[in-house]
Amino acid sequence: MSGRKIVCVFLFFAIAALAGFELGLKVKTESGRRDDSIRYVTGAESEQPPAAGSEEPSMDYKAVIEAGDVEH
Amino acid sequence: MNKMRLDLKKVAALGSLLIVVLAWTGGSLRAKDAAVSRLEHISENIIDLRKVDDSLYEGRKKDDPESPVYIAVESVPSYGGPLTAAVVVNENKQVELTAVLESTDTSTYLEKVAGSGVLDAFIGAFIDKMPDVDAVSGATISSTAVIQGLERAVAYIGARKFGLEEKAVERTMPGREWIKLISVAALFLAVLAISSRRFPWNKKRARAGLMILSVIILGFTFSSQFSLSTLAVLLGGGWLKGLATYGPLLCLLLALIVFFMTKKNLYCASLCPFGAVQEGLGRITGCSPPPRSRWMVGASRAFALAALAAALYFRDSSAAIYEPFGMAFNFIGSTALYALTILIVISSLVFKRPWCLLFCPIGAIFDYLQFMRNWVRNAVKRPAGKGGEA
Repeated sequence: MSGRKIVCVFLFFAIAALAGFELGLKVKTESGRRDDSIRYVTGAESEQPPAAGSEEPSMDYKAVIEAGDVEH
Repeated sequence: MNKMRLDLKKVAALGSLLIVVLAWTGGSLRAKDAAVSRLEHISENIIDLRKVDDSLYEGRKKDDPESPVYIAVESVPSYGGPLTAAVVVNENKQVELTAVLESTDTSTYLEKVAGSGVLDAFIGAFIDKMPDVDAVSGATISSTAVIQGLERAVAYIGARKFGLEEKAVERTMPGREWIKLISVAALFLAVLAISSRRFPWNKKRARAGLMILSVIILGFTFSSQFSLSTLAVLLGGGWLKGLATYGPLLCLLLALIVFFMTKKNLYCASLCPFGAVQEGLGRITGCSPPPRSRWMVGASRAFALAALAAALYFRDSSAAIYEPFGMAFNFIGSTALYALTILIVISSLVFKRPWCLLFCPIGAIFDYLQFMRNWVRNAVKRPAGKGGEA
């Protein structure tokens, strides 16, 4: 197997691993999501929302679910 | 041997179609319109929830059973389909709670909207003096949909329960939609003109110019590049309830029309902005395409099929996304997508169009369509040919 082919195979697996991680995470969160679950809720009973860029969202933000991305 | 391989391809093609149909059917059978069920989970302090009409509900506070609360639910078109927002208003006309009940927008964008305090901006406001909340830069479509949904819900409660005049809450969706759609259509007309035999000028230079335009228009300016999620929106029927932007859907439809008209995948070859970026980087080093094995092609197609089936089953187009387009042009996405984008950009200097040739699901879809078209065409021609011989 040529060096170029080896690099190509390595690249393929690297792309597949990253894409698989991305897709697997989404499928896992979607399948774990109940049909009656709310995406985001905030209000009088809630604590303050997380600051932009915060690592830890507050509990009330029930930002329960999601990970993943689509282009807008 | 070749005959056996062809038969295997036909079995795989039919199997893929069956998987997509099963995923679509399974998705249809999943719970629909669970709004009341979701509302029951909106707050532990709201009890005795009852439906007044399709958009309005009434309940009582657990800690103050004499106090009624009114809940309105409104759906508005957003990026990936309808977004459903809800507000809870107390008897003093004050907003107590806001929520996004349902959305198929990308979670990264929704998180940005929630993290920017859009939902909180309404809390404590009186419905006859609502705050003017701005859209969030970088997530304008999703944030506009959230704001519009909440404003409509508040207006609905005001009109039905407090006798206020129901003002039409209309927010112009950003993005200059008409300019976007016309630009997308113009790019496809240009690619058709360039691919024509009668095109009088240098085709290579014209194609390069078109690719640069595509990166600017489809990529950075309007984000109208379609992806596997756009196909999921089309097949899943999400567009029937309205979309905030039709750019990617139009782009997909025109790409399919051009493909069936010319029998060539002109979109991937000359219009895809991410493909253009990779090709531009490859020109710097003059690299050649990656050597692909048959198993690589099969694996990438199986991956695309799994993603499409998941999106159709969950009726969530964002579940199908693993392409780095959003990260490449909008700089929004997960860490994995960020790493993937960097990897593709670097490897574009070693191989020509590595993403397109190794893993892009769009290429797999066009390959599938081409195979099916040839199969059907041959099947139609064969009996006619036999008849002619006889």
